[in-house]
Formats: sequence, structure tokens, C-alpha cells
Amino acid sequence: MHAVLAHFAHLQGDKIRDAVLATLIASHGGSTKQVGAKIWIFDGGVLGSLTVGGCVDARVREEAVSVQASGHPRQITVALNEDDTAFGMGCAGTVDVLLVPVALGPDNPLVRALTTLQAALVARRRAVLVLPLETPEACCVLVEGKPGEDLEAPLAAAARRLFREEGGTALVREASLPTFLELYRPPPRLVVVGAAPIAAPLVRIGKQLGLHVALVESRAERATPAQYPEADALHVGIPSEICATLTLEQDDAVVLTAHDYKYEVPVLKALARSGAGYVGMVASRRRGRAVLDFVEAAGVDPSWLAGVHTPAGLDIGARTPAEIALSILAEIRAVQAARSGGPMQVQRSASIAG
Amino acid sequence: MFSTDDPGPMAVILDHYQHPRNHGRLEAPDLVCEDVNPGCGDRLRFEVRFGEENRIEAVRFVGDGCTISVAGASVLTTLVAGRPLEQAVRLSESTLLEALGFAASPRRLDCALLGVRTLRAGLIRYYHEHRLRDHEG
Repeated sequence: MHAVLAHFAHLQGDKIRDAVLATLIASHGGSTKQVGAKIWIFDGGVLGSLTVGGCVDARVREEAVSVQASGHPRQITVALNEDDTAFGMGCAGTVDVLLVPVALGPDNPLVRALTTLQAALVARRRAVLVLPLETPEACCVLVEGKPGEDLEAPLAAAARRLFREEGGTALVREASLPTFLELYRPPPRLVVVGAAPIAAPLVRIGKQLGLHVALVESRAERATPAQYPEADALHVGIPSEICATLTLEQDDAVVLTAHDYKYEVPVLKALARSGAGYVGMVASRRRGRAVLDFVEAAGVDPSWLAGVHTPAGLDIGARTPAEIALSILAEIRAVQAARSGGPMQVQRSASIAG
Repeated sequence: MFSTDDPGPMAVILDHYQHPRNHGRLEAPDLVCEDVNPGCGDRLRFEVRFGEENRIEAVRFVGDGCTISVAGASVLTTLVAGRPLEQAVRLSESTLLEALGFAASPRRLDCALLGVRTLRAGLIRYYHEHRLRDHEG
């Protein structure tokens, strides 16, 4: 679940009545400010953070007090640690932040919009949150494949672009009301095949990473909610048949943890027709090669098999189930981000930003 | 993992594992039965369509299992296809093992017999359900 929605649910669960939702709508200079990041500020606490180091949050919290008291939205610009940048050790640039007071009841437009957003993501539909900067009470959500609101042409064009480009945000100032748009996508799926010891940490850590995690297993007694409380779905049946029915996309990953050809061979055959962007198999090099050779001899496209990651995971010296799960999830992330998975120190030093 | 250079006594098993007979699904089957081996996780499902006088007109199976369980299911379907239900139910485990060419080690016997036990349970259930309906009718 997206952080803002998880925090929203948390606030509702705690019966918080009033809060301020702050959104980072623009960033100038530096690179660690994620436009679209959100933080909830309420009496007694905060949920979320606007920047990696949280350096903006304190200023936003101060501003939130008066925003809540006024009952009106406000935009602020925050300079990031100007005093420290002389030594190159502080964060650089400025960020624009929109603060919106929210009465957390069913009649609040932003509450309705977030509820709609959450429902769309649960149904695995993409959606765009449309947030007018001056009149956030006029916010709405465009859900992919459903008739949308009548938006002004520049806003409609921006929304179409976000859907087309599959990500990001847009700050549209050409419309009569400057508006912030943000695309939300259903969380990528992690499908774990086989209730082996590695499966539990894979499910647990995968969930912490925000993935939609499903476990596939042939034996019901090995795939219970008590054993996998974090799992979004537990599928019991014939694993290859289950995998064949899942609609997997480029962002989705499948990890074969069974360590047994009885699952691996038929599941790989089934996955060859899927759109999963990552398929990994926990095996030794020798056994993994033998399984791939057998599946290729059975007629599966060798070019697809060449993309199967086996042994699955990055070479971090993993030994325990949790360590192996960590290495696999790191590899999944690297593959999905088209990165090598090497050390940041060497390859990314030029862009580590403040 | 799988050497077919000298299959020896595994010849039938490897052949049926690599080229399972009657593998797949049936449209509108009269009987569906499925079971799992709790120890190793092999899972098989059979679908059966009956013809005149409860003769097995068509049988198919799907499942994820080891060479022995998949081959056992495949050989089983060739043995029961076309037979009357009453005969298929009585197909013995030793008949299947003989057809499979499998000198079973006790450890793998459950694999070899998963199919025949699953299908037999399904056929018996079907038999009783239909006899019950006849009495009600």
C-alpha cells in the first residue's frame, strides 16, 4: 500500500478528526526530494516524511499548526539548510509544499478522493489524483478505464500523459486553477512459489518494501495466515495452474523457492507465457542449469529462459533464509530499476545528493 | 537432473513424465477429483467424462509432481480410459506399478500411487452420489 494511504488508514483507525496533509509539489535543485511525497500532521504526531533526511518536515510541522487553525490551504517554499551548503554537506535547493487541512470525515472531498484512490488500487487499476492548489476541496480521482471528471484541456492532457508514461507527477499552471496531478499505480506483485524456509522472510520483507505479496503452495497446511500473516494472498492448488492464471506485468516478480523440480519445471513453463519482469529460481548453479535445460528441451523459448535468474539474488554472501530473501529482493529491485546492483559508493557517487 | 541416455528401469517413467498421456482439461467433466501428497506436495487433478453405462469416455489430468507421480497419473489414464466405472475402481495398485515398471522403494510408493488413489476416491464418490440419485429418483 502507498505510504500516504497506509497513513490515512492509520489515522482513521485511531479516529483522528483533524489533520493537515502536506504534499511536496515541486523541487528546485538537489535530487533527493521526491515530488509527490506526503506527510500527515495531526495533534500528537506526524506520519510520513517529505524528504529523505526529513529536513523539511520541521518547518512544515510549524506551518501546519496555523494552516489547521485557519482552515485554508497554503503553499510554502522551504530552503533546505542554506547555512550548511557552504561546506557541501547540507541539502541543496528549495521545495514547494502544499498544506491542506483535512477534516477526516466521510464528507471531506480529500477523504473521498483518497478512499476512491485506495479502492482503485485494490482493484489493481491505476489512478490519477487531481489536486487544485488553491481549492483542494475540488480534488478528484481519475481511475483508469472508468469515465472521468470533465477536466480542463491542460489538466486532461497532463493526466493522459501520466497514464501513458506510467509514472510521475505534473504541476499544471496553464489551467484556470493551478493543479497538481499524481499517478498512483497498484503495488508491484511478488509471487513466491513454494512454502520453503526462504518464503517467510521473502513475504515479510517484500511486504515492507510495499509489494503486493502472494504465496503459491500445493499444501493448504503449509500456507496459512498464521504462518504468513503479512501475505496479501495465499493461493493453494496446483502451482503451475495458479501461476498461469495470474495476470503478471513487467513490474511483477516471481520467485521459485520450492527448491524442487516438481514445481520448477511446470511453473517455468507456465511463466514463459506471462509478462513478469523478473523470474528467479532458488537453486545451485548446477541444478538451476539442469532445470532450465530440461524446460528448454520441453519447448520453452530459450531466449526467455536466459532471463531467468538462477541462482536468484545478488552476491552478498547470503546464508540464512532472511539473508537470501534480502539478496533476492535487492536483485528484483535492481532489475526493475535497470541498475547493476553494485555498490553505490563506486557507481553512484556523482549523484548522491543533498 | 534427468538423464535419458540410459533410462533402464526408469524408461516408462521418464517417457510418461516428458510426454504425459491424456494431459490437460476436459470441457464439462462429469467428475473432478484432486488430491495432494501432504509429505512432498505433489498435487494431481483428474477430470472424467462418462459415456454409456458409466464407461469412462474421456479422462484427463493436470498436476505438479515428481517424475514418478506424474508418470503414474499418465499411465493410469491409459489403463482406465474406455473402461466401465466399476472396472476402473477395481484397478489395483500392483497393476499400476507393474505398468509403470516401477520397483517401488517404500519412500516413493506414495508418489507412484497418488494418482490411482486420487482417481479411485473420486470414482467411488461419483458412484455413490449417482446411486443415491437413482434411489431418490
